[in-house]
Amino acid sequence: MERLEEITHALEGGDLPLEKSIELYTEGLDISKFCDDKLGEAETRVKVITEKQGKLVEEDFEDEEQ
Amino acid sequence: MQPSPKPFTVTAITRMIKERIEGSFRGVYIEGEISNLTVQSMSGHHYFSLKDAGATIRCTLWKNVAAGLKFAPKDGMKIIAFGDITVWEKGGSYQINCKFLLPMGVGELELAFRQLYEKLSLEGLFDPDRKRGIPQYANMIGVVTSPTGAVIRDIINIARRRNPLVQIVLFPARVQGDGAEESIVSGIQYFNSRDDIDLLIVGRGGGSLEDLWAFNSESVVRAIVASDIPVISAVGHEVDVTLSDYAADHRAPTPSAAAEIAVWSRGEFSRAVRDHIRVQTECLRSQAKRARHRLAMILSRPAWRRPFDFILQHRQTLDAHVRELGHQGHIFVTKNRNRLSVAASSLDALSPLKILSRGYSVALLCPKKTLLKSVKEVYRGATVETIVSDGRFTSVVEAITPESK
Repeated sequence: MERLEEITHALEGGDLPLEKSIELYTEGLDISKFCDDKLGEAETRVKVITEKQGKLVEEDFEDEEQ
Repeated sequence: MQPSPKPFTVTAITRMIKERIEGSFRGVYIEGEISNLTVQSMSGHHYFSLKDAGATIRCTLWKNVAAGLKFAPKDGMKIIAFGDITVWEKGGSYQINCKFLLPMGVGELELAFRQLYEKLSLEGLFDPDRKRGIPQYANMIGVVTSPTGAVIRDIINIARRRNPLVQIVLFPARVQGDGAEESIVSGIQYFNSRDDIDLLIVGRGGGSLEDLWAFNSESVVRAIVASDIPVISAVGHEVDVTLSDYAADHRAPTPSAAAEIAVWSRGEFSRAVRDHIRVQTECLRSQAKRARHRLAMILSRPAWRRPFDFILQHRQTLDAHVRELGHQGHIFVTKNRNRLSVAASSLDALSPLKILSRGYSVALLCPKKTLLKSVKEVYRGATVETIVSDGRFTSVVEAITPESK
């Protein structure tokens, strides 16, 4: 997101040579695609800490809603 | 005279007084103002007087009872003491042996709250500049709360809705009653011992001041302050404010609010990414447009529209010059040709050949063929070649006659 912000700021500045602008724009598109892919995954994972034989371990949490 | 009754010993009379008093004054509530409070450093026992306008009673407060108090007794405090009146035989005095103390006018919990607030506040634990920001993109969130109850359920539901990518780890803690303080502190410390947790939420549902009391305890407050991981506190309802709330980096009025702050929204993030791309596209488009415009401007200039114009112009000029040159040349040649004719005819007239045709001859001395202009240049017997108009002949000199002057 930081990089995307940097790119937007640079392109808005308006005084980059055309080649550089195209380069940055392409990079922006790549980042956007990467984000879309990453965000598409997943299901909420909830873990709970339990004590097993004196040590604290992580286990899956079962709540009624699941 | 009546015989005087047998005198009591001091011990005996004191014993009688003791029995009388201790028998009658068990478990009494007495209200008054604390004064002359001292704490014996060795034993930790408290000694003070409870007084009002008319009288004073000495009080004792054993160390373990004092430790169990939620507030600290101070001189001038108005309290209710509960205990037994006992007689200290050796000293000849009586006192209240306090089983517990209650502050008057203010609930003991409230008093304790105020005292602790002042103490910790003075240490700077609640200073605004101590507070850290909440991470913008926390990916693992530790929660210290009861495993049953609304808090964890609400947090999970909201996290699920906002962003399934964010992981929640629950440390199940006792949130009221015995052991609650220790349990909550353990939770906070446990998460701090890991290096993959970005943010903590510490809280519990609504309840009375007593129910929430663990979150007002000094140990929990200090654990929150000591936490390297930023802490959001979500204790009770909106109106409940505990010392944990003051100590935390952010206070959420409800567990749902805590989850909203803690969990970054996937949807908002996507929207922000799309917005950026939209703006970038627009910028690039307008930059390209500007570049095309500039190119068009340049190409519309005459040099580009008719590039050979330049050449044609010059060629035209060149042709004109050439023509002019030709013309002038012609004139020049004509003029000179005339001169040449004229000169040629004059030359012709003066030509020695013409002279020859008029009868003059040219004499040349042989063998060198040198031109003879004077009689002095010849001698008798010399060979002379003579050129006349239509040829030449060779003769020998017989006689020489100089011309007399």
